[in-house]
Amino acid sequence: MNELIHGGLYGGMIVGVLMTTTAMALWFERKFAARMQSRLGPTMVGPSGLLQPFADVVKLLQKEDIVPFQADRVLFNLAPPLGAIAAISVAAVIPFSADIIAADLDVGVLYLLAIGALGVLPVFIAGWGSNNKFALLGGMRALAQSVSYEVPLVLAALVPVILTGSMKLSAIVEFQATHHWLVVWPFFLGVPAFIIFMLAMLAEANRIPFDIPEAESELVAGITTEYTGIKFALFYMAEYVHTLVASAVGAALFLGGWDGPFAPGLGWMVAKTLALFGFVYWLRWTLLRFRSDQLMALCWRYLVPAGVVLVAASAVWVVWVG
Amino acid sequence: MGHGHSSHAVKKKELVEQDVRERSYVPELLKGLAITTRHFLKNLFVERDPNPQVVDREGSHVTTVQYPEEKIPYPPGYRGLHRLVPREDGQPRCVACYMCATICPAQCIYIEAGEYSQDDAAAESRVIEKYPKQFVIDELRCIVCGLCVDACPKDAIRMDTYTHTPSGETRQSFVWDIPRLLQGPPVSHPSDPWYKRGNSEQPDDSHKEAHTRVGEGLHLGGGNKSVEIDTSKPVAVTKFLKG
Amino acid sequence: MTALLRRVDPYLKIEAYDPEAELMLLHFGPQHPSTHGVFRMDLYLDGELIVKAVPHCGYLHRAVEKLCEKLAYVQLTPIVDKNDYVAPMTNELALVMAFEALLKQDVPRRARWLRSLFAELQRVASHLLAIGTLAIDLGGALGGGTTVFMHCFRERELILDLFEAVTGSRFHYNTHTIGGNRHDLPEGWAKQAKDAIRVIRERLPEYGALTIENRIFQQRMQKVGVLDGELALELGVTGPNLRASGVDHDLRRDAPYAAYDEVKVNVVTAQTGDCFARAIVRVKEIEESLRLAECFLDGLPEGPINGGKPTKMAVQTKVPVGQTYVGIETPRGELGTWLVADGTHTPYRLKIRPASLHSLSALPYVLPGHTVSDAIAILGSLDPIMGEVDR
Repeated sequence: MNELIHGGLYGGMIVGVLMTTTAMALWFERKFAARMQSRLGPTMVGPSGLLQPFADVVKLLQKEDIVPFQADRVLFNLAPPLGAIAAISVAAVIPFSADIIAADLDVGVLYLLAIGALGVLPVFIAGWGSNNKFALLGGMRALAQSVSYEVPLVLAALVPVILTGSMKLSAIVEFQATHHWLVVWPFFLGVPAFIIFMLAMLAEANRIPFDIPEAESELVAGITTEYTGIKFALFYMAEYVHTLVASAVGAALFLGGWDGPFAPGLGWMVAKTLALFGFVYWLRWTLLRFRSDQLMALCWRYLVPAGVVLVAASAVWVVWVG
Repeated sequence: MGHGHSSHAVKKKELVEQDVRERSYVPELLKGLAITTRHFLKNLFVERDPNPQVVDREGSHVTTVQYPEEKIPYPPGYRGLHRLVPREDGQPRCVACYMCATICPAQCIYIEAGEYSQDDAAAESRVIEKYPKQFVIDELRCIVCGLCVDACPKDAIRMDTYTHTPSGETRQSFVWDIPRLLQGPPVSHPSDPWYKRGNSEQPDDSHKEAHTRVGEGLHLGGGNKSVEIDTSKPVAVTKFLKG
Repeated sequence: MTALLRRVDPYLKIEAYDPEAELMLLHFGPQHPSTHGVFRMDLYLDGELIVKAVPHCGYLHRAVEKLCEKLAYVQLTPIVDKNDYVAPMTNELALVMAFEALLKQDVPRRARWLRSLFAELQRVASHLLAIGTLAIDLGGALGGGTTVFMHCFRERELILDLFEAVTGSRFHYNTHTIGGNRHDLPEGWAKQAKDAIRVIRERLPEYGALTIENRIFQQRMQKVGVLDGELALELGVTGPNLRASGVDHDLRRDAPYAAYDEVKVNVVTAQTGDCFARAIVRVKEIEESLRLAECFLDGLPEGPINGGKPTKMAVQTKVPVGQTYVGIETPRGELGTWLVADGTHTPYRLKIRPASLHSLSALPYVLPGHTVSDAIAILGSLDPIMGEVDR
C-alpha cells in the first residue's frame, strides 16, 4: 500500500513536471530555432512569448475533431492516447536523483526498452486507421524504421548493463557515481555506445534527420495527416515527451545521471537531460532528412555491426579487465 | 569587352566523389552545426538592431521586421493606394477624360463625367469642360500596375499614399469613390488651365500638360488617414464593357 | 546510363503491368506542401517505388494567353508579371522584346543595360528561392530545411528591396515598356545594390555548407533523377536543368539580347544530370549572376531609358502585321514569346513558351524507379513555377 502511494505520488509529480517541461521545451525549441534562423520566434504571448505553448494548446483544444470518412474509428481514436501513454510510461523508471524515482524496477532497462518499443504501435495504428494513403505510407515507414532501430538501441543499452552488471537504472547511475561516467571510462566503449543509443533513440522518437514517418514535405504530415485538435496535440506532445525521456535515459545510462559535484543530484540530472535535449534540437534545425532506405542502410550496415562489436567488447572488458 | 564564349563546367569531382572522411558525415555535420551555432549565439547575445534598412543593421543577424510595430518605410515612388489629387480649392483635379479608365488592364476604374454648364459663373467653367460626377476604383480588381498614373494628363490620380488598400469586410467596402479617394495634399502646376484667367500674365505656351512620374511629389508618411465610410449608402458601381 | 533511361516507359500500361491491381495509386497534389504550388502527379507505387508517374498540370490556369489577345500591347506587361511570379522581371522582358522586334523599335543603350542588370539580379533572387525551397523539400518545414530557406529568403529580400526602390513594387514591377524602361534608378541605388551584392556574396558559403556540402544533402541528391542531355534536349528542357545534364547552352551567350553581347557571360555546366548537378549549377549561377550584375552596374551608361512613347492610350501602339519568336534565358530556362500581330492594337495570338512546363515534361521519364522521397527531391531540383506552367 505504502509503495502504491509512493508510486502514485511520484508518478503524478513526474507526469505534471513532464507536461510543463514539454510545454517549455516547445517554447525553447521555437526560440532556439528562431535564433538560428535569424528570427525572433514567438514574442507576443506572455514575456518573450513564454506562454505561446499554452496558447497553442488552447487553440488545439478548440479545433473541430474530425474523423475521416471510412476511417477505422476505433483504431483512429485509440492511437493518440496510446502514443501519449507509451511516451510518458517510460518516465517511470528514470532516476531523477537518488531519491526521486517513481518505480525503481530491477529490470528498468528492459522496461524502458519494452515500453519504448510500444511507441511504434500507436504510430502504425494511426497510419492504418486514418484511411489515408499518406498516413499509410508514414505508418509503413515508421514500422520499418522502429523495428530496425530497436536492434541497435537494445545493443547500445546492453553496454552499460554489461559494464555495470545491473539492469536497475539507479544501480547503473550509482555505479557511474562511484566509478566513472561511462563516456569517460571506458570511453572507447561508452562513447560509441552513447552515440548509437542517441541515434537509435532519435530514430524511435522520429526526430530529424530520422523523422521520415511524418516527413511533411513528402507525406503531407505522415501519420498525423488526418488528426485534428486534441488528438493531434497528443501525438505532438508524445513526440516531445519521447525526445525528453530519451534524453533523460541517455543521461542516466551514459552520462552519470544525477552524479556531479557541487550541485544537488536533481540539478545535474536536469542539466544533462536538457543539454542532450538541446543537442537533439540543434541537430534538428541544422540537418536535412534521410531517405528511408538510406536510414535502413545506416542502421543495418553501420549501427548494428558496431553495436554487436561493442557488446562483445564490453563482455571482454568486464571479464578480463574490469 | 568582347563577345563572351566560355563556359565554366562544374568538375566531376565536385559532383560525385567523396573520400572516407567525407563519408563519415562528421566534418560537414560539424560545419553545419557551427553555422547554426554562430547564428544562434550572435542572435542570442547581441542586441537586435531595429534599423528598418536591413542591410545596414549592425550586430545581431536578426533580419525580420516585427511588422505591426515596426514598418519598413516605403521607398519614394512606391505604388500604393490610389488617391485623387485635389486642387487648392479642394475639388479633384480630374477632368473626367477617361484616359485612366481606358488604359487600366483590370478595368477597375469607373468614371461618370459631368459637364459644366455654359452659364456657370465659376471661373473654371471657362477653361475646363468636364468634371467627374462619379469616380470609382474597385480596389479588389486593381492590379497596382500604375498605368493610370502614367496615362493621366492632368496629374489627377496618383499612387503616392504610401499605404496599402486597407482591409474590409465586404466587397463593397473596397469600392472607393470620390469622397474616399480625394485625399492628401493638393497639387498645383503653373500650367493648370484653371489658373488661366482672361487677364493672365502667363503666356499660353506655358500651359502644357503636366507630366508626372509615379510617386513624384509629397510623401504622405505612413498610416492611411481614416476615412469615414458611409456603409448605409453603398456606392453604386456600374460595370462597363470596353470596346 | 542513357540505355537505362530509355528503358523507362512513360506510357506504361498499368492494367497490363499490374493485372491484380496491387499497386497503390497515390494522388500527389494538388494540395500538397511540396508540389511548388498546385501541381499533381499520379504516382503508381509498388511499396514506395514509383512504377509510373503521370503529371497533371492546369490547376493554376488563368487564361493569360487569351487575356493577352484581348488587351492592348501597352497593357500586357503587368499581366505577364504574374506568370513566373518568382522572376517577373524576365517575363516582362521576353514580352516587350517580342513587341520591339516587330515594331523595329530601338532600345536605348542604358535601357538595355538596365534590363540585363535587372535580369541578373532577378536570377539571383530566383535561384535563392529555388535552393531554399529545395532544402525545405529535403529537410522539412520543421527542420534544417527551414534554416536554409530562411537564410535564402533573407538574401532574396535584399534584391526585392532593390527592385522596390526602382519600380515602386516588390513583385509585379511593370517596369519594362515598349522601347525601354519605365523607371530609372533612384539616387543612391547603385550603392544600395553594391551593398546587397556584397552581403549576398559574403553569405553564400553559409547555405552552401548547409546544402551542397552537406553529406545528407549529397546522399539525397546524387545519382537521383538522372536526366541525360539527349533526352533533355528532346523534351525541350532548358536553362539550369539542361546545363546540369552537360549541354552547354545558354541564350545569354548563344543568342545575346539586351546588353549580354557587351559582356562576357560564363556559362555554368555540370555533367552528371542528377538532382545534385541541378542544385550545384544553380548555386554557381548565383555567383556568376552576382558578378554579371556588378559588371552591369559598373558599366551602366548614361542616357535616356526609353526610346518609345509614354504609355497614354491603349491604342497608341499598333504592331504591324507579322509574327516573331523571341526567347530569353530566364532563371528557369528559355522563356519564349511567339507573337502574331494583325496590325491592330491587340495581339492576334500570343503564345508564351514557359521553361518550367518543359522541365516538368521530364518527370514521367525520370521518376519511375525512384521512391516518393526522391520524387520530392526531383521535383524540387527541377524548380518549376506553376504560374508559368499553367499560365
